[in-house]
This record gives sequence, C-alpha cells and structure tokens, in this order.
Amino acid sequence: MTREAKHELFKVLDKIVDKLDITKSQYEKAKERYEAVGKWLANGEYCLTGSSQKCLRDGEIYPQGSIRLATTVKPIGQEEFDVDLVFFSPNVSPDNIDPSELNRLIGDRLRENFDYRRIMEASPNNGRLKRGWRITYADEFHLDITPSINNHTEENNSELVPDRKLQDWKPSNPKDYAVWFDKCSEKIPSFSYVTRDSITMASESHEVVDFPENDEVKPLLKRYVQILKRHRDEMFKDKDHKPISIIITTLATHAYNKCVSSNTYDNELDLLIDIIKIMPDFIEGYEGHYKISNPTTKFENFAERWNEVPAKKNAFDLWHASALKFFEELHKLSGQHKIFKFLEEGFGKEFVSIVYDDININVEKNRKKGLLGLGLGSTASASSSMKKNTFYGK
Amino acid sequence: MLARGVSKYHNLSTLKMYHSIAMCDLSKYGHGHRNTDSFYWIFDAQPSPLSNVYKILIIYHKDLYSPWVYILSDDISQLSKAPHLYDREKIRLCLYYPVGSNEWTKRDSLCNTIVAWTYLWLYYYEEWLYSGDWKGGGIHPNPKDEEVEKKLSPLKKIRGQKKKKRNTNVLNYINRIYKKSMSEYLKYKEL
Repeated sequence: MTREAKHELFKVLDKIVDKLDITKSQYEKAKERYEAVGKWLANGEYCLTGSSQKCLRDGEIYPQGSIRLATTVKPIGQEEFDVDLVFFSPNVSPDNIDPSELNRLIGDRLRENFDYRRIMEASPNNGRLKRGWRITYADEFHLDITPSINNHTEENNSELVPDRKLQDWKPSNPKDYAVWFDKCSEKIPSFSYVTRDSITMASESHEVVDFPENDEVKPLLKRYVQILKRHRDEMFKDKDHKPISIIITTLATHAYNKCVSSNTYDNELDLLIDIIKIMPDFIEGYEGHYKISNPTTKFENFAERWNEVPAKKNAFDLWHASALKFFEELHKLSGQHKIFKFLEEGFGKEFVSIVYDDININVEKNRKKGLLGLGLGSTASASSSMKKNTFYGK
Repeated sequence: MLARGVSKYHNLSTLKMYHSIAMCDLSKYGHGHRNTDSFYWIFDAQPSPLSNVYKILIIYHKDLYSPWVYILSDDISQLSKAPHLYDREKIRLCLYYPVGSNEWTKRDSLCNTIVAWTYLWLYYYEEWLYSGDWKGGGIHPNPKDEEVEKKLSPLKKIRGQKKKKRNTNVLNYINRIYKKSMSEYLKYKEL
C-alpha cells in the first residue's frame, strides 16, 4: 500500500470512530445533567452517625475515564454512552467512614430526588452498581457515580475510592491521570510527508455536524485509543474478559510517548502499528504479579484483576495479537471494496458502511458540481472538472 | 445546437483528441499510438487511493461516434457481471447516454468526459462490489429502441450497407488494437 493509501485509510478509520464518538451536544447535555446531580448531592444534609460532619456537603462531581479523556466509543448493542463520574467528598476521612456507608449515603440522597428516584427504580438493580450508582437517560447516556474521598498520604490529587467489594478504600487518581494523558496527547508526532493538518482540513470541508468535544481536532493519540477500543469491543462482543479501557489507554499512551519521541513516521497508520507492537512492553511483573501502574499515584494497579483471574490476561494477549494482525493485514489490501469489507471485521458493519455512504454522498455532490472527486480528501482526481454523464447500457 | 455542417467544422481533430488524453492528469501516465484517423491510449487508472489500479484501453477512429473504452484484465469473473457494459467479454464500458443527449460530442476534450467518466465508473464498480448496489445511476437500454432500428427503409438499407463496409474496417482496427494491447498486458503481467 502506498503512503497516500495509508494516509487515506487512516482518514477512514478517523471517520469511523468519529461516528462512534459522543457528539458535542450530547456531551453538553451529559455535563448539564451530571452537574445537576453533583449539586443535588452536595446539598445533602447527611451526617455520620454521632458526628456533626456533613459528608456530602462541599462535594464535587467530576468526569473520569473516557468522557474526561475524550476517548468515548459508543458501546456495541447499547444506545447509551457511559459517563463515568466521581463524587468527591472532601470532608470525610477514611478513618471515620467505610466505603459501603458512604456509598449508601449517596444512594439515599439520590433517591430523595423525585426524578432520580423514578429513573433508578426503573433500572436494573435499582441503579445500584458494584461501587456506586447509575442514573440512566434512555437512548442518551448513563451517569455512573463512584464515591471518593481525600487520600491524605499523597500530596497530589490522589483520592481514595472503594475497592470492588466496597470493603476497603484504595488509592486512585483520575484527575492527575487525565492531565498526564492530555499532556502526552499534545505531543505531535513527526511525519515525513503527511501531516495531521491535512486530515483536519479534509474533515472540515465535510460539513461535520456535531463535532465531538470542544477542541476541533482530536489529538492523534485519542483517536488511536478510540480505534483500539472499538476493535476490542467488536472482538469481545460475545466474549468474556474484555480488556478494560484504562489498560488499553495506559499502554497505548506509554507506547505513543516512546514512538513519538524516538522516530519519524511516514503516515499515521505506520505509527499506529508501531504503537500496538510495543504496548506489552509497558506491562510490568510476571504471572500472578502483573502491574500496570497509574503513573500519577502510588499503589493503583490497573492490572490488579489479571492477578486474580488469569483468563483476563490471556484475553488481553489474544486481543493484542489480533489487533496487531488486523492492522498489519489491513495495509496489505488493495481495492476500496475489499478494504471496507475487511474493516467491517474489526469495527462492525454498521459504522463502516456509514462511512462508505458518506464518501458516496461526497462523490455525488462533486459530480453534481461538475467535479470528479472520489475520495475522502485530496486525491489525484480531486480537482478535475467533469461533464455530466448518464451511464448507459445493460 | 449547431447545424450539421457547422458541428463538423468544430469537431476536434484526431490529433487534438489524442493530445487531450495524453496531457490529461488522469491519463497522462500511459502510452499509445496515433495515426491520421485513429489512435489508442493505454493508462493506469486508480479512482481513489484505496482502489485497485485498472489498466484502461481507449481506442478511437474518426468514423466512430466516440472512443471505445475497455478494461484490460485477466480476471473478468466479477467485471463481466457489472452493470453498464457494452461487451461483457471484453469489458467495454458504457459511460454516457448516446442518444441526443449531447453528453458527449466530438467537440469535447476526452479528459473531462470519457477519461473522467472511466474513473467514475471504476469508483462505482468497486462500490457495487462492496454493497451489491450500483449507485452511479444510469439508463438501461430499452429493447424497443433496438427493434425500431431493425425496421429500416430501403434507402436507409443502402446507406446502411455502405456504412457497414466502412464499419468493418473500423471494427477490424479496434479488434486488432484490443488483441495487441491485451497480449501486451498479459505478457507484462507475467513478468
């Protein structure tokens, strides 16, 4: 495949995940909704038994995970985006409240609100999650709220969140993690021929409705993470032990850092393949003691579950091998029809065919304007004028 | 619309037509040969960066209404099933509506007509392979039109016979070039 073809192919991938991204208006709506929830919780008068301290008072709600990192990918077979939130209660110390109690207080306070109560009672398990609460806005998004408190042992933004069993507190640092991720994603890779700008210009000319996020161009790293996550979703749609997003995001970010600081690339696809190749290098430890640290806090190990359930590590290895194979095979193909058929295997038919249809619409528009333009962006034929024609014959 | 005599005056000569194809950005990377009354041109066409590269042969003779366009391929299993073909064995493309539409006239440069339409056809061909649907639009010939042509007046029959003789020469030229180009293509492919 030529450099131009790889560049074009990346534009197609870019478009596919763009379709799966939360739109700006959906994001604004989600933000409005979770801010209202945060306010409601912070106004709660709940106190600890035998104490005058107000647990939820002055609390702060903030987004974490993909919604904060701008790496959302619409889940398969589900109309709603996951909006992961933290409700941070600054007035509480781990010594005087246990996770299940704080979690219960949050649930009680939510149910004091007529709307939240109605939504939660109509949801599976009354909106109860393993650690936190879910408020579902049908066909839009659901807000998953996890409680957190201050982690006084570290000087950064480290917090304590409940463990999976709601029995103990464990360190976490979603805020600083997001800052770390954003910083890494700002590193601009050096491309020898094509630049990311050319992608931007191409997509801007396409009347993009509801562009995701506030910033107009999604940094390349964020796109890569979305592409990898979608590939994972498609692979694990009927399988257990789907590798978790934070692991894919963390490993891809380390790999991106390394690739970008040491190499020059010909095109975006080659860089993506290199990133996938070296992702496992950033897994520390060995069987039973795997470690993928949160780079911004001590003792948070994203690979913790691998050590309890070895099948999860195997599933990650399978996904990794499959992703690498997929992208390496992809760039050996030729024929737009073959490439799109192949893309369906990795990303699902629905959104791949939508992107093909978008190209068809562009071709048709150009044709009506008397232009021959047959791709997503600038091609050899992009600027040629063309007389009107009607295909004839059997 | 111009009167008959006038339009002939305005026709592009074979030379000009040949130039319009050899200089065209879409087809300039090719080769061919020109005589006084005829020419052919072979070039690679890739409709989009992700598409296959197709070997295109365009043959023209001044007695033809318009150039004939072929895809040279050693595997026509799918091509021969595509819509809008004049010839399913030789893969000759139907690119425009010939009857009174003025979509193609001899005054047109080949670059923004026949050559551009070939690219467009190839684009829709690959899309058709993907979706099973021809999205490029078009008209399929009405069998009634063909019947009308068969019922000719005696005068038209004599004219038709003269024309037929001339046409045989043109067809011979086309067949010769097609065969030659095809064998060259196959030979090159083997290498």
